[in-house]
Amino acid sequence: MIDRQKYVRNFSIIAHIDHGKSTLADRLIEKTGFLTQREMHEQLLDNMDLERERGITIKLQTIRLVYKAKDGHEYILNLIDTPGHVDFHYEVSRSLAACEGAVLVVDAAQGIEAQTLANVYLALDQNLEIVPVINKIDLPSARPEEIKNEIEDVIGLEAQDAPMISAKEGINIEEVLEAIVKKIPAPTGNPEAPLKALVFDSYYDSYKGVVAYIRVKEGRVKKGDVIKMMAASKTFEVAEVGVLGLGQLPVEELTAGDVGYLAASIKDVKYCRVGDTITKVNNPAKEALPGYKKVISMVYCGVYPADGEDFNNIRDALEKLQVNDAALIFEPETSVALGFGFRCGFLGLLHLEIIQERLEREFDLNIIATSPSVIYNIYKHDGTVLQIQNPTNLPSPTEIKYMEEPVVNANIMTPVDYVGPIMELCQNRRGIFINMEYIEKTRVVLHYKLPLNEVIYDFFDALKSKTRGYASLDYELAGYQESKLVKLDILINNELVDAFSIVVHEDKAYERGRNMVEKLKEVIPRHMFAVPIQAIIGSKIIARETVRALRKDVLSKCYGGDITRKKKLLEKQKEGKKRMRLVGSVEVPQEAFLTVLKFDEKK
Amino acid sequence: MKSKLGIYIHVPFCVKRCLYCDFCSGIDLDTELVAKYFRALKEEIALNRHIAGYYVVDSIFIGGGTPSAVESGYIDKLLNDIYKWFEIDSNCESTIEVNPGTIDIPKARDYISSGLNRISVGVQTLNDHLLKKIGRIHSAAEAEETLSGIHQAGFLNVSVDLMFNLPGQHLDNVTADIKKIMKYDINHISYYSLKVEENTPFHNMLRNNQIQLASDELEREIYHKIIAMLENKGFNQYEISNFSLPGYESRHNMKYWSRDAYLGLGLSSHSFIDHQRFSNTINLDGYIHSLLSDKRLSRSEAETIQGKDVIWEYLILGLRKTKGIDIEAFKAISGSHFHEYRKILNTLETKGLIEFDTTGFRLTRLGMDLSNTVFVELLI
Repeated sequence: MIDRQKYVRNFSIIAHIDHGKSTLADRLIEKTGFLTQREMHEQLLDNMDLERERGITIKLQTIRLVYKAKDGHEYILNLIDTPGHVDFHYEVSRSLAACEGAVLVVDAAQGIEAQTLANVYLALDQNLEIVPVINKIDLPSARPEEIKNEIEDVIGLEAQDAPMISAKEGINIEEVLEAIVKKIPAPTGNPEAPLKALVFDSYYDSYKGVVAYIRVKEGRVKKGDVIKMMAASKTFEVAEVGVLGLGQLPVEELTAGDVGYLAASIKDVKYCRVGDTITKVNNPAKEALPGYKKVISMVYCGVYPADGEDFNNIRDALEKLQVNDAALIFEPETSVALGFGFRCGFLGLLHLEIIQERLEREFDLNIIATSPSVIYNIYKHDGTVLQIQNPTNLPSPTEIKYMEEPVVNANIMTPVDYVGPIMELCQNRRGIFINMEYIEKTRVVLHYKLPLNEVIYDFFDALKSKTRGYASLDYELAGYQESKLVKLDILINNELVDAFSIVVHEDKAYERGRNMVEKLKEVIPRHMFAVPIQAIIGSKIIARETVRALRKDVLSKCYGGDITRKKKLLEKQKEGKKRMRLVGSVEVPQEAFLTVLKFDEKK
Repeated sequence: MKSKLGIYIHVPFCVKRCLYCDFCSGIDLDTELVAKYFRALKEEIALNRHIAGYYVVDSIFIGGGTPSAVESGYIDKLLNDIYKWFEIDSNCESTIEVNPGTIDIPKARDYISSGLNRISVGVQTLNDHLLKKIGRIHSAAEAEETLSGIHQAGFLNVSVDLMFNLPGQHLDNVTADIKKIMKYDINHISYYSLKVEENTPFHNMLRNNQIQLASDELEREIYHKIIAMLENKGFNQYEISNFSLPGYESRHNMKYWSRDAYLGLGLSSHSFIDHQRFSNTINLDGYIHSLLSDKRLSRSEAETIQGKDVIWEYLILGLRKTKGIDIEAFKAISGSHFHEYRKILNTLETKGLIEFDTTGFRLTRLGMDLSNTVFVELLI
């Protein structure tokens, strides 16, 4: 092993949401003396507001730390951050592929959760050395000894000497650093071999173009090298390489074992996908690093401009987001009800929600998002097979022989007390029970096969509310199954409003249809004429409500000649009208498009 | 010739605030405060003397609040101050609002000697149960007493304020009110539908289900019944909520709807003079302090009404009048924009909200029920 590699450690921190990953990262940064206490803002790694609010990490951030260990040597610790949610499995796996080890943070009170396991399995797939750490030992409800046993029993990791820490209080952080240095192996790889560098993240910089975060597995790379992205088959000239301190620090060269960044005036993020392998045009690697996958969107929805918002602003924003988020895909589409917009594909429901919120918050856009949908396989009588993700494009029922929908294997970890309500929820959502395992006396993991279209429809919220937030969910796609699906349409004043169309299981259609028309009745204002709202399947009406005709629309008396107040009230009314969508001759408020998506688990 | 001017004077004091009222009123009758307020009014009148030279006053309206809640001497001095600075038309319509329970025959006589020639009585309803429910201080009998008393005192020009859509009020209650009121010698009725405004006790009570209002359908049925009954008695509906015997339309009200000039005096009053709209503060202490200590008006910034705003105001105010808007006059007001508006008016006509004849256009019955819909369409 060459000296340069000997004092390098590349690692990630993996944890269930809220088990303290970001806080531990902050402490590690602090302890390595990179920053003064004052410079640290809380949760240094999560730099997006949204992440802080949700307490989850969306976008990767990687940082290089310098640590003087007890053995007297100075080590370079590359901390590669990972997103902490099921939707980002692939991104997590690529980050882990850049490491030799992972610090597994387990909450001393809550123990192992669904995502702890999911992440551990991903780390084991990459043959990483896992360093367990018990966090939050300062909590009154902490039971570290039990948790250690749990880690040994459930995961099969030696945990008796796991550092017992409180990241929040800064207790025993040093032990974590020592464990990283001692237990995680140094990187290997021949610096003289042809270049193989793994792209584990990228983002767009308006000056440098796409900046790739890379792990050099073999060979070396420096400014001026002509490189090739192996999956994208594109060549670029390297403009800059560097390491990731607090900011980017350009260096002469990155060699095997190093983690850093690379800029090569790459204009489009699609040429620099996560998981791709960078090599050189002269002396190229024979084969790419394993594991590259083209990201598949599992959840789709339409995104439309609301309230006179400009279509072009939305396109610009989506383009900007896509530059940093290769998993987001979009293409223009047209809706009769909503006009010009985009069909967007996401990794999962959380990813969808995050993108929606970023469009609204970061770009200050007013958008309408349609019901999320998944991809259905349609087998027609004429032998052709279609893949449809927009319910509007579904062929007529008479042409369809049968349909298939995606299903997922869901693992729900929960205290025993909530098994009943969860089973009820899963059953309501057409789940098929596989089995139940005890993790310890009071906690179990439930394995279900669930249709994805049920999971994307408010499943997280329902699960949370039924278990007071104690249950955790992890899922992975498990193929397709034949299913009796129907297209449910909504007619407003006898006109079909495509934005409300959904694909739903036959058995659920009546309930969903009723629910939707009742909600629409609440939000659609009275018009000069009565407005019927109907839910239909094919030509069969399954639910109907009517918004009665407007009988009165007047202001109160003229207060002592206060014309200004009167005008203001009317102007406000006009503003409200502008925010309406005209569907035929009916004005539909924007909130209608949101409310029908929200499911309330009443029964 | 000098232009005509209406003067409105606001008296914010009340014995007790009604449960539906969100108007700047209901201020407790504190003797010292009342005295200060009228001193401030005197100051305000004097500070407005510079505009007096351009106008002749043909309408004075003392409203509230309850102007009759204060001693008649205050009203007398107030009017004398106006007479001192302003030129008054010999035919001036001078109205005071009174509420039953705060007025007797001597007080009414005092008003006449001060120069008032029209009186507007806040009756609201002649149903005791409903009067209590809306927080009025008087009974139906007292209201009827007031109506005969003011007539006895010599008021020949009498208007009453009535309300419908009161919580729990049925169609029968309304027809009974009208029958009773017709026994008195009145020539003008303002009939307002209760609207529950925010920041009123009724608003909370409605939210807490302590009161219920009629459905829109029933409310309109009652409104249509009122129009029919009053017209049957010779009361012509000249505005959405106002009715009068021929020739007794309220000059004061008409100024609002015709965009004529008016000057507001007193707390929270509004003015429209020389294309400008402005208003006084709604803060009583601020009002008094500004006038008495600083010798300064406490007005909002004036907003100059111009461009399309003039046209819109002309339409939304003019259409409140049942005689509607004269097409030639509207052509003159709208100028080059006439065709834009004409297009909208035509659409409104096809929806049955307005109607045209050879001279002009007006709201239909449906248009009156949905007047906001019309006004909002005309905002372009």
